[in-house]
Amino acid sequence: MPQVPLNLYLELSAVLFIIGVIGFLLRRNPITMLMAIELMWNAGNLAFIAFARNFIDMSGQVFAFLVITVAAAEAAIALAIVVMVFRRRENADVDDISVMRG
Amino acid sequence: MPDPAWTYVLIFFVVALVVASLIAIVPGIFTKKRPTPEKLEPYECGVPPTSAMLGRFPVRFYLVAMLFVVFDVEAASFYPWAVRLRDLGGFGLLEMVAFIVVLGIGYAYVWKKGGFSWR
Amino acid sequence: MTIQGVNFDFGILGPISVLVITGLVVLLVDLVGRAVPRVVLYGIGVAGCAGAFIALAPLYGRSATTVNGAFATDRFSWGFSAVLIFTLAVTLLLSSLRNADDGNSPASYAALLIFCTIGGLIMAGATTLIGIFLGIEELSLALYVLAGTGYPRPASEEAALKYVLLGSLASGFLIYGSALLYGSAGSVSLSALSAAASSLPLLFVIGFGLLLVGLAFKLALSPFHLWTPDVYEGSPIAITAYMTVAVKAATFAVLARFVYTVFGHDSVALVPLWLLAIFSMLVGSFGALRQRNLKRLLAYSSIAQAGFMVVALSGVGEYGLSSLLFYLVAYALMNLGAFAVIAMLGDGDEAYADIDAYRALFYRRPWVAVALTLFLFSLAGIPGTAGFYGKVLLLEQGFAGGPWGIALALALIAGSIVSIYVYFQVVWAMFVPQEGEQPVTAGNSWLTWVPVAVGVAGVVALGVIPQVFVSIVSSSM
Repeated sequence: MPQVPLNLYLELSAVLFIIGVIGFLLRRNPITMLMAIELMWNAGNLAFIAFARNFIDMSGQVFAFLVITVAAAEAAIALAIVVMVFRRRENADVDDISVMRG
Repeated sequence: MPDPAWTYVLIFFVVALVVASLIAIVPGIFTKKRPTPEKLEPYECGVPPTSAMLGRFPVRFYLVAMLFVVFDVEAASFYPWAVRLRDLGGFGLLEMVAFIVVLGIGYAYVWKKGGFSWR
Repeated sequence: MTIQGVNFDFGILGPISVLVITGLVVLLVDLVGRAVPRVVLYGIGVAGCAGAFIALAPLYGRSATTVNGAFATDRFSWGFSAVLIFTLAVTLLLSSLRNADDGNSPASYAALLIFCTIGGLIMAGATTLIGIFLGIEELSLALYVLAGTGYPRPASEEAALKYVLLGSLASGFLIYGSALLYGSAGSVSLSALSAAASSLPLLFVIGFGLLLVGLAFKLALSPFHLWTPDVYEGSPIAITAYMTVAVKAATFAVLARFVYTVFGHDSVALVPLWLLAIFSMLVGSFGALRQRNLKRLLAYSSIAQAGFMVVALSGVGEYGLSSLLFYLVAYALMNLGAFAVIAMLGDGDEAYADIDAYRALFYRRPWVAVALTLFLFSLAGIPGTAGFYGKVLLLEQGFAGGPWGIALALALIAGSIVSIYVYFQVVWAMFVPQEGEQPVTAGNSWLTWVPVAVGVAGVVALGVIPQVFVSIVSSSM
């Protein structure tokens, strides 16, 4: 079976990361922004796994594993906060959620 | 001196940035927006929705889902231990017991605070 | 002791272990007991801090690693850990005020604060990218929740939302940067990265750039500071105090370790860091000028202070680290002191966030006004206070550190001059007599007098006999 070269993994992860950043910057719905962030985190995971495979080294996989567990905790906390904000307001557009200025 | 073998990574970053920005921005400039009621439906072709989706779910659903996500993924931490069970031996067992104790205290805390009760 | 090829030194892990147990005990006490009073839970927390200090004390001046070199106690970790534990104790005391955590479960509040600090301690001792990531996440995740604990106030939930969104974005940069650094070195340990740093392959440069963006977000270095004023203003006062000191202490521990181990503190790759620092000093100082809310003012000031502290890293030799630590200790004392005063006057409420509430404070609460004046003077760097000597040390480092160091030192001077005016406005308001209606000041709890008194004593001591503390700090390394 032909090996997929490292470059392709890295390129894919770079694209995912940048889509995540742009998604975060363009979207104004907190849930969508969180999805964009998850994309960035998982782009990092992909790069880690690709490098770990390339170096035949476990630490990259360990890192990716920890990122996945932390991402779950982070998603739970972020969603809890979003729900807390939603309950008080009709919409949850981040531009509208602002009582503080300056 | 940067390693030239990685230069293409930089080039790719730039290309990805440009392409992704174009995809995001260009349609907004060139399209004419002529919304019709059908186009504004959540699913443009398909069965008409029976009720407004803007209604709210009870917050309980979110709570259960969030707790599920956390405990589900933390359970994945058992996996590395499981595949190396024999090599890790008693030490691995102790480590996992410590992990379970910490997780268990969190679980008991959520339980006591009523996180699992539907009412 | 070595188990299964992994060596463990529970002495080095001592402070963390003590705090982990404390956090769990707090939760268990609340679980078992019925309506446990808040003071008991926070008291357990403060006792845990004392225990962690006792566990930390034997590590003074020691340099060793454990868990196969993944966690260390050394010159980078000791002082920062001490500041973190101290900050935790002060924050718990401030949180015990009547209005500080209304409507929240005090046990989970205290436990989250303790877990935050554990994250900070992990950051201070971590010698691998994995440890740094875990520490940062543990610190941040708990803080996202704590920022929202002022729940009935809309500003608090807004702060939590902004913090969690931008904090996670920063973590995304951090993870991707770590991945590229790992790819450039083939290992997650910082010592392996220093080999890559000497030749600066492109992958390393991009990776370090992304990592720096992530850390700058957490440190609130300009231009990544945009979340800071809102989050600091919206969070409950005790949490704001904690954020301004603990997050900076932990992140600076990581940054210092990174700069010294990976680059040996002199590399062209660090130029972005110097630029961020110069930016922060100016943006923070000028941004503070037009603030009418004291929490917001201190938020901008903390942006500038983070920039000041970077100057220490620009110097040459081991002395840079000890001046960073000296300044950090001074900053912790004066900033926590100032926040303790704000919290005390409003009894944990937000009533005393506005500058107008401080008009003629001297004639109502003379001692409190004097203490706040001392803290603000120290933040501004008036001679005779801790902040002044700290800035002298930083300037020494800057002027010894080549063209970038000099640029940083000049920015520090400019920022300080502006900030003197900023703080003087507040002091002026306190000492000018005023007729008519006066805001009510809450009764003072002795629990908040403790951090204020410690802050006053520390600021004066560090200002009057700084050499003693410099030698204590230096020999901890």
